[in-house]
Amino acid sequence: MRELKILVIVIFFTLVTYWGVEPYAHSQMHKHVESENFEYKDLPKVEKGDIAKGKELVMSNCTACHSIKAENMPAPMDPVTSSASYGVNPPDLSNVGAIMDEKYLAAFIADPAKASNVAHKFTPESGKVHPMPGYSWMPKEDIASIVAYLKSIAPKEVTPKEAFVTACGRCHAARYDGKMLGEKWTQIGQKPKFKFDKDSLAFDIKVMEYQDNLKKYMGKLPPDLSIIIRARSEHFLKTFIENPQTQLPGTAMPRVGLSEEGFEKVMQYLENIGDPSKPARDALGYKFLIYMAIFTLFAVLWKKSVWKKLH
Amino acid sequence: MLHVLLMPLIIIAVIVMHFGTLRIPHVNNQEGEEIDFDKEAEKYLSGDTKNSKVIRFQWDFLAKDFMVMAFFLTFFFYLVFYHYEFAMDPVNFDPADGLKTPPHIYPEWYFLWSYEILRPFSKDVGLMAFGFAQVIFLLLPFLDRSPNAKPAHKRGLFQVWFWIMLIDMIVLSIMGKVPPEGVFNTIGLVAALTFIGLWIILPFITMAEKKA
Repeated sequence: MRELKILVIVIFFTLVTYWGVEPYAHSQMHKHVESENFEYKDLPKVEKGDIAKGKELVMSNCTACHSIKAENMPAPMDPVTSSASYGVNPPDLSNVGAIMDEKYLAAFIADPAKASNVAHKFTPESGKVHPMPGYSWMPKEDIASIVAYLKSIAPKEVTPKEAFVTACGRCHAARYDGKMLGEKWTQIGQKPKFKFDKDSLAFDIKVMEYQDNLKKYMGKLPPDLSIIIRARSEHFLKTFIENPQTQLPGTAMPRVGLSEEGFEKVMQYLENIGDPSKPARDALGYKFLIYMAIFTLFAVLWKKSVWKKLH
Repeated sequence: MLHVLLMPLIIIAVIVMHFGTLRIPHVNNQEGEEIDFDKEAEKYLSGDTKNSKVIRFQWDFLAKDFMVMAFFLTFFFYLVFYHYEFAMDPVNFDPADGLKTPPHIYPEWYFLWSYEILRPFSKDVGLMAFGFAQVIFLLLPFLDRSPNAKPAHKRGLFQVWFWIMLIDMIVLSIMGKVPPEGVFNTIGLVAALTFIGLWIILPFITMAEKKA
């Protein structure tokens, strides 16, 4: 009995120490931000739009800058040239309807800087304007039609990587995304394994040119997200992506307007590259624990048989 | 060479010495009971294992050790497989940036207590207190002036000293990790002064102990 009492005391003090230096200390280090579950309550509702009308409007207003690969509409410029003109490569619109919130899409089309919470970067004094012009002059029904069209062309199933590429991958690189050495996600696309150094370096130069333009636009180079899943908690990433200003006031990172499903896809991608062995651990884990349970059972039986003759 | 060969050899040598010295006054027990080991061993060997106060290392001790280890490893592998991030501080996964110091810096958890003895003071005083904290545990056998070699619960005031020290170390560890703001500063300073004070009074309270 005395041994058990000692064990309980040791466990108690261990838990108090653990609680103090982990959950408690971290709760004091970081400001607590409540999640809004991607509801975007500050944005107005979107009415039902006309898909055909939306298609017409998209063709006459959006495709001068945006590609829509799902509709065989190529990008008018390559990423590096785009970044030289806009600061960042405009996204392909094929799957925005699947991963973005529709209220956000409508608000963004009307006033991009305001909807993405980066209006502080584009004040009249700064002399800068958001690279995408606002369409607040357009009737609300027309914007609703554009959103309806974008949703209609979006694929039912978006892969985690596609979600990441649309939402994050034009500013953030992921250097661990690749099966072979040298492969990685860069802001201008996936870097393949090149046979010759010359080709590899040529690709790198393009990435650097793009990054220089991006730095001018964002103020600094946005961080690589390869292991962000380990550096930040899920709650932090969720509230930060919902609204970056709550966690980092004044940041240049825009609110990207992911819907809950879109966010889950992005998180899945981040987990795949930041913790690639998780599926293997999950698959092996329970088998190993069953083995340990049997092992423990035998250990207990053995101890009992040895200690039968002792005090 | 030094770290992969020499240090392990030294550690093994110290372990051997530790086991060797254990044989001299014999292993202690939880109650601090004085035992005639030879008589108890004879009792064990003559077959009266039930009433003997000693056990054999093999397999009596090992069987129990094995059982405890099995429980521990089950828990350990549960953490390995399902809480992989358990002991990994997220801070270590942010790439280093020479131009950006994180707002809170702190050492690994087992150094937090001595870090908190450094932190609440001004630079020079803090360094002195830190140096004091690093070596003082090594001097414990010499600062303990008690004539008794017994567990703390049989030694009067020393027991109180022991528990205050334990709680103080935990408070220091927690305060070493929270941001140095507001009330945490005060708690940290009080805990650091308590730590130093405890070591100063240790020789006096142990000297006052009577030979039991």
